Amino acid sequence: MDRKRVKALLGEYYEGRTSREEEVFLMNFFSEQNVPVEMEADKLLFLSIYESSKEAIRDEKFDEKLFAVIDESDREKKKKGIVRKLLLAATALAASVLLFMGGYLFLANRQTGDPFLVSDEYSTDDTRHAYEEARSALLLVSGVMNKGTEQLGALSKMSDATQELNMLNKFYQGAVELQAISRFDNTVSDIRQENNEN
Amino acid sequence: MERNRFKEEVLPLKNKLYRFAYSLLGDREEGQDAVQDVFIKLWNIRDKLNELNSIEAFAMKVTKNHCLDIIKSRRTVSFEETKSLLFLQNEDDSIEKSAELKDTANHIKQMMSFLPVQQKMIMQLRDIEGYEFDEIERALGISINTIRVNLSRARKKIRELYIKSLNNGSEKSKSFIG
Repeated sequence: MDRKRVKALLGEYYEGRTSREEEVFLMNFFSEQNVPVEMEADKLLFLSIYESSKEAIRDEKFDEKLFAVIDESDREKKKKGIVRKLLLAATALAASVLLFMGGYLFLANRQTGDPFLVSDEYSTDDTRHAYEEARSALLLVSGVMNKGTEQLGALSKMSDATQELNMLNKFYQGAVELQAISRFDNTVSDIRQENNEN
Repeated sequence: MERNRFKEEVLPLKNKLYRFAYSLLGDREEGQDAVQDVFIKLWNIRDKLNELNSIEAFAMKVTKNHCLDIIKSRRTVSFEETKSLLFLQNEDDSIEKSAELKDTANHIKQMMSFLPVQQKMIMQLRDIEGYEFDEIERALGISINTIRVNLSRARKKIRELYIKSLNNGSEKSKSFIG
């Protein structure tokens, strides 16, 4: 009785038309019964399917290892999250500064036209006064430098010329070059004279 | 999803996923590594798992994709290596080998290694894992009709290989006795 049913079911099985219940029935049949030779291949197939279904991960520490990897990955993500937050905060700060500066420049621009240019509202007298002030300051520096170079000249006479003193010599030469400022003054005076003549 | 819930609801799938990965990759260690990778992927999207109809079907899909990626990457490295890992050296050698390993689960693995990937996956899920057709449909994204056709071909091929295997065995024993 069973064998007839089994034969019919096997036909359906190889066509992919059996239900799970029918397949379980076939599995039970082949695991319990001796079968005729023509069904030997079918029996082998069902038994090896059964064997395969018991296959499991052999590593007993699989769960432990898995969660160790998961924990490590979570820690890495946390670290990356903190760095990302810091970067975001820095970006926000930079954006705020830029916004502030932009606002400031915009307002300054509204008042003066161009915040980076010297206002053209200064009078000729103001410009001249500024020039005089600058000239006297530069002359003062030049004078002081000249005094300094005289003393440095004495130093250069010292026989034990060390490397450091050689440096001072160079400083002296530089100071002499600063005398060019006086020439600049002369040139400016000449230009002014010409302007007055015109 | 909390860790404990993950342990209760997702982790118990490990052996099913392992069998599936092993059947595709043909190597125990690689199968186990693949399952670990799959669990890490699932852990990373644990908050979305609750929204799924079937975590198991989804986990199978992830395992399938992961294993296929591994197989693809192997092919770019060395096709010969892939063949050996998938027991594809020689059909007759394999039949002979499996005849010697009649009582082990390796038996069907040897036979199934000759199947195309899709047939292998379908047979694994249906015959070894006992999935219903609609579950296979969800896990593999293949229509039920295609599943039936491929399952039929796979089963017939395996039976044919078993018959060859038995014939080889009996011829061997005959020649031994003779």
